[in-house]
Amino acid sequence: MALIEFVKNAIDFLSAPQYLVTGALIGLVLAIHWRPIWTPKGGAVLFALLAGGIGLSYLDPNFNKVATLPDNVPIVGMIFLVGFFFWFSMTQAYANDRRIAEGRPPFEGEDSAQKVFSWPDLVYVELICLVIVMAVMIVWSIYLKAPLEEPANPTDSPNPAKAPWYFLGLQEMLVYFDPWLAGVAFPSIIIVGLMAIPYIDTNPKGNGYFTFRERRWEITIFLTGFLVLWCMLIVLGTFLRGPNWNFFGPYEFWDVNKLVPLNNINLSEIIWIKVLKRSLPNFWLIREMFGLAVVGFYVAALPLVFSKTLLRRFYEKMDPVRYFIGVSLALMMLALPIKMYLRWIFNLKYIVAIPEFAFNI
Amino acid sequence: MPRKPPAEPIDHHYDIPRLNRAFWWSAAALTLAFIVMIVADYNRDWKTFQRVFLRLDAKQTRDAALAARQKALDDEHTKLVGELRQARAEIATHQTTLHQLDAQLKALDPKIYLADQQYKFTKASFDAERYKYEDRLANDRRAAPSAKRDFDRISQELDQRTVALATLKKQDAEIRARVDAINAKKKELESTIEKRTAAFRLSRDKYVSLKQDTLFQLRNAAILDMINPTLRVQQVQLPDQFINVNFMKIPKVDRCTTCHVGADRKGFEDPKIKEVFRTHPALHRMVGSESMHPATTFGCTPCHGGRDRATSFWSAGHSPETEAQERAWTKKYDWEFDKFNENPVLPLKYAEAGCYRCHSSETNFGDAPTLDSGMRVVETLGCWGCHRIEGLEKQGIPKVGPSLEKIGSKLSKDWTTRWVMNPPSFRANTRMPNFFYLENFVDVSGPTPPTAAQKKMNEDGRVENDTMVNAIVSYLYDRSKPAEVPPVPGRGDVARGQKLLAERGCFGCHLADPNAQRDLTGTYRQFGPNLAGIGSKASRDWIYHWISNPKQWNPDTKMPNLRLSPEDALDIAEYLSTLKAPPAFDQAGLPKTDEKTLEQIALYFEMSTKTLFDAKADLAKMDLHGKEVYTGKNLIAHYGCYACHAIPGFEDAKPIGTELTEEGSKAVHRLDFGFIHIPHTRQDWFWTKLHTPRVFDRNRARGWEEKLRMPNFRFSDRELDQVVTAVLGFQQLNAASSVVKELSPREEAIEKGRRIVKNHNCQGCHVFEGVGGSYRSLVADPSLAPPIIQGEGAKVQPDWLFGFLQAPKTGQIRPWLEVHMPTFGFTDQELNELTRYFAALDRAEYPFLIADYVTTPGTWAAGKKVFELLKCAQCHPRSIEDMNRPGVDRASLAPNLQMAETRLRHDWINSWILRPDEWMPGTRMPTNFPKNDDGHRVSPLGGLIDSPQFAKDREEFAKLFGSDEAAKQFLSSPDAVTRALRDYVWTIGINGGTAPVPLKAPAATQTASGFGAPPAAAGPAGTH
Repeated sequence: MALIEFVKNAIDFLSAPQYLVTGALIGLVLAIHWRPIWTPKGGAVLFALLAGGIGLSYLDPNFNKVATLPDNVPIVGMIFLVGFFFWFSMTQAYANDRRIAEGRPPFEGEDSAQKVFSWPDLVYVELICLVIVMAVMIVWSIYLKAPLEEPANPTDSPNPAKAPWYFLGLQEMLVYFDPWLAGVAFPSIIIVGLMAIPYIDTNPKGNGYFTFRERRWEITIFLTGFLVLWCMLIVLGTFLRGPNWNFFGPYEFWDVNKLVPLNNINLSEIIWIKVLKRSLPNFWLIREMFGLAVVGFYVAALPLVFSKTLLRRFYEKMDPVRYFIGVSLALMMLALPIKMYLRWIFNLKYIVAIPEFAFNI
Repeated sequence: MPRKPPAEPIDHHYDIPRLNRAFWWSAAALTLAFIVMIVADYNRDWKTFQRVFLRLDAKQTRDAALAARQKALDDEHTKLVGELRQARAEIATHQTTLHQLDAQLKALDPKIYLADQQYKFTKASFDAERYKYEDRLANDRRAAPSAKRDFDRISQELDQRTVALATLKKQDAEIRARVDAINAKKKELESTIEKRTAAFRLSRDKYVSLKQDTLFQLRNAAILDMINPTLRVQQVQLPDQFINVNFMKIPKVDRCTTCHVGADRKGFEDPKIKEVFRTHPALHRMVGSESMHPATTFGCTPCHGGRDRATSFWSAGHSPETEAQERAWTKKYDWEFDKFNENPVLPLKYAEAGCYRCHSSETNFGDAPTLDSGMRVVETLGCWGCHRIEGLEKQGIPKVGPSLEKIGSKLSKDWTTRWVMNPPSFRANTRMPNFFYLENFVDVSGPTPPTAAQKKMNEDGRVENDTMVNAIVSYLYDRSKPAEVPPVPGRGDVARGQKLLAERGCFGCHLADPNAQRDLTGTYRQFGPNLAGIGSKASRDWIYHWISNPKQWNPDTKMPNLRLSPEDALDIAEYLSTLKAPPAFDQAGLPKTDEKTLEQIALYFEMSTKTLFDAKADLAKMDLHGKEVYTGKNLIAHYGCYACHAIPGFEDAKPIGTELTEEGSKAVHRLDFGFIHIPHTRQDWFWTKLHTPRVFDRNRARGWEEKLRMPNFRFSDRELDQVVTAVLGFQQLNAASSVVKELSPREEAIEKGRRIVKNHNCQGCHVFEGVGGSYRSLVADPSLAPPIIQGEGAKVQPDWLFGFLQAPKTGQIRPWLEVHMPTFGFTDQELNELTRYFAALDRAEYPFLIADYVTTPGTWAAGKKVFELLKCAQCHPRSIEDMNRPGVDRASLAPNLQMAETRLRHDWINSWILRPDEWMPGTRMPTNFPKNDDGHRVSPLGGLIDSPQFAKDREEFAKLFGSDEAAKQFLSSPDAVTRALRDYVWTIGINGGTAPVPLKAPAATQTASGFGAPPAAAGPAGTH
């Protein structure tokens, strides 16, 4: 019993955002290089661990309460689905890599050499899928009622007020960024960026077949963005954010009374008051010049610097326009974990804080 | 670059038979899912309920049909059937005639048809010709004569046709009359039998319609039930009752009767019937179509709460009353707590809360006893002093506690300190709540012995409370206005004082029972403080001055003046000063002020307006007493003592508590449950809060200034249920004004009066509106008790009542009474409202009455004669002298009739004489005009006068009325006799009953009415 409590407490502790994100970032990079996982046997072990862990967690009343809410059940499903496709594609990729190393074409290459009729080979399978999905959806809708709550009240929002599950990643970003950034700028950039990928990444390798070795960087960047910064934030928002958007471990009771200090300060305060021991200048441009310089450097200068140093290989391979757009997008994506760490380590609120124009970064 | 030729398609990538199998299985799964969907959609609990109810209804109808059959098929029925058979046989002998007549009718039929048709056609042509003729007359005069000819011709033809048709119809009628004559007997019998068996046939037909036959099953089968099912969702639309969804109001649609099928129907009251089907228990008031709250306008959920459109047990929001019920429901109906339902059904014991939102303008809620008691408790304990409650605020209730403005001259400081520390230790039934040493300061309630940390916290809390009590008391005495209590010379008689206390009527409002428990709703005698222990509280001198004239000490007191003589007052004061408190109270230790704590508390208050250094500097200037007074004043503001007591310096202070006007609609998540695990419902929170007001501080580390402040009223469980009902009733009004109780002018007058009555505890002594009179039970002889004044409005004249209430005189009406009607010191407005209230209660005329009533000398003389005949004077004195005559037992006297003219309403007197038993059940006034079997009053005088002993009277009456017959007619009419008596009694107060003349009416009117001429004939002489 004490052991179980210890494990639960450990998990509760480790699932705090800072450890979760750090763990996920490191874990992801390690995992995609650890080949034993990406085999059927590894997959089975992975599945057993995940299913067993979640299954056992249902025995905990607090976990059970949250995980069995009708709107949270699909997220549990999402964990398994995303996990499966991640495992499947990685396994295929490693298998193909092995074949390519042996000088053979990838599996998909063999397949695509064949030509088949769309009926029955395509449409029939689709039909079967459709029938199965319909049957599942019907049974689901009968036994899991629509999660209706009280009538909406603009003066009295529910606590916690949660976005639809697919926006929970964005809502999590609101913890670290100003609403205009997290709610307006970033979503637009994400959509535009996703649309731009085919034009930036013109490398034909991996087209139509799974491979890891040939696209190491691209896959790592994509998986970081998709798995850690999107799917995991949805899971975090669903299961680990409770009343007042406070963090709660998976086995913790969602207590409305819980209070967490939120004592964050701006970069300008750190520099002017803590370091220079002077009062804040009145004029915003002077007050925020350090922050603006940092942001300017990050956005404008860093791609240039990288083109000469770290990313020279890419710069040489791609033409400048593609390079700058691609790197800018990647930096945007990286801005989220960077800001998270700044918050966790320095309690940094905003790098640039200009309440005069409601402009904060 | 040449394109590669496309590869040849291979046969199949997949194994098609496998795909076929997969398709088969998935299709089977989908079909199954589809069936499950239909079944799940079809199986609704309400359908089962309706089927079961149908069976119940059918069974009851069948029983009713059988009973009706039993009743209808009696001997009479057999006889009638026999007669019918005979009649039929009789008709059979006339068969030939009937055949002939029938043949004649058949022959006539086409003729009539034809004649009728011809008549109609001619009529149409006639109308057309008439128009043509009129048109010519107007527009073409030359052509008029020819048109006139056509018109005359057709007019003639129409006459002929009319005659022809009438002739044929006459023939037809004659023949039919002959047929009917033959059949008459049979028809009459048939109709009688039909009438006698109607009830039976009706219920039989109903039973047949209720049977769940094949057609029923077919109509209600799955899928087929989309066409026209008999099992269907029942609903009433309530356009005047809303659901407030914040940005708009949606009319309610109540579907409760979908399952509660019998709620609005008589005949399902039997407690053996399942609750869901039972008739509403108050059908005459609620739900019933003829009640004042028909379900079609008021629905169910506006009062009971719950989700109006729901058709399942759970989603309707039923709330269990007990944990046992919760378990049973969970098992039976899959019930679970629904935190998203903002307005669940009120548990049954709180159901009356639903009344208040529409009836908040009323004072009493007699039909809702729990709510009525709850409101009484809320009013009496002064909840409204700290918590604004709009409905009560409008009514104007005086502060519930005594004034503390002159406390220094009335009470000792030690007594006040001990009292504030723990009021019930002095007086168990007091309304004063406990403010200090409650569990968020000193918690000794835990089941386990307190830990060292807990002990330390308790000790700190005790010191804080000790300091606070001293500070508050210091302030009260520091600001107390000087008042003189001159010593009373001499000693009173304790025994006589005790007797007088009981006799004068003090116990109408007070108890003197050290063991009494608080009961604010069962008796009116806890209106004033319990007098037990009063001798330890106030001095003899103070009591003497107080009871001699309470308003002199405190003009705003509710205590009235009993007009005690100085000797009486002295004796009573002497006796009261012997009533001592339990010794434990006087020996209880006094708190010590902890200077450091006092400093901290004072600093906190100082810092609310000043900076730390200014505050400290300010405090440094104060001495210990100054600090205590300063802190005391702020603590009084902190704890809101002025909500109930008048305290100098707090004349305009605002209430400190949460407003409760819409507390019953408050979102549950706005109630702070703290770390207390109780169901998250309003009623559970209210109950817990009222039971242990500081409980939500449990396990909270808060400074004294953050701690909860609500005092503990020591509610009993019964009081808790009552108050929770009231608080749940303080709801947002989501209804159109058309369904809200709107007071008519009469009802408004009544409500105003009721408020004054409640504020002055009139019902402590008197019974009216069917309640009150607690004091009467203390008086052995009911005729010596304060009178029942039911019907007072119809009885007395408004002017008299006004004067009486303003300044009642001892011995005015019943000089033999020891109990005094007190002088309340009502304002003009209150007096007017009270007189109007009594008149409105009895629907009597108000305020102006005719001063001069009309009689004839004959009637008056007859009245006088009857007065003597009935020996009225035996009990009723007609003057003060009559009462003081030697040998008269004053206690057995009836009211002095001399006052009738100035006190009583003219039309009441005869009504009273006619039916005293109805006006005042149990009255000593004999019922001279009993009811006969039909319920009509009769006068026995008409018969009595024939007996020989009244021969002389009979002669006199005959002389008065001119004939024996007229006299008899008069004496047999109860109305005439009582009116005559009244006319006589009316003159007693004017001239001692010596002459009919001084009815104060002008001569002209008298003459006019004497001769039966219309009043208009009196002309200008009618004024005087």
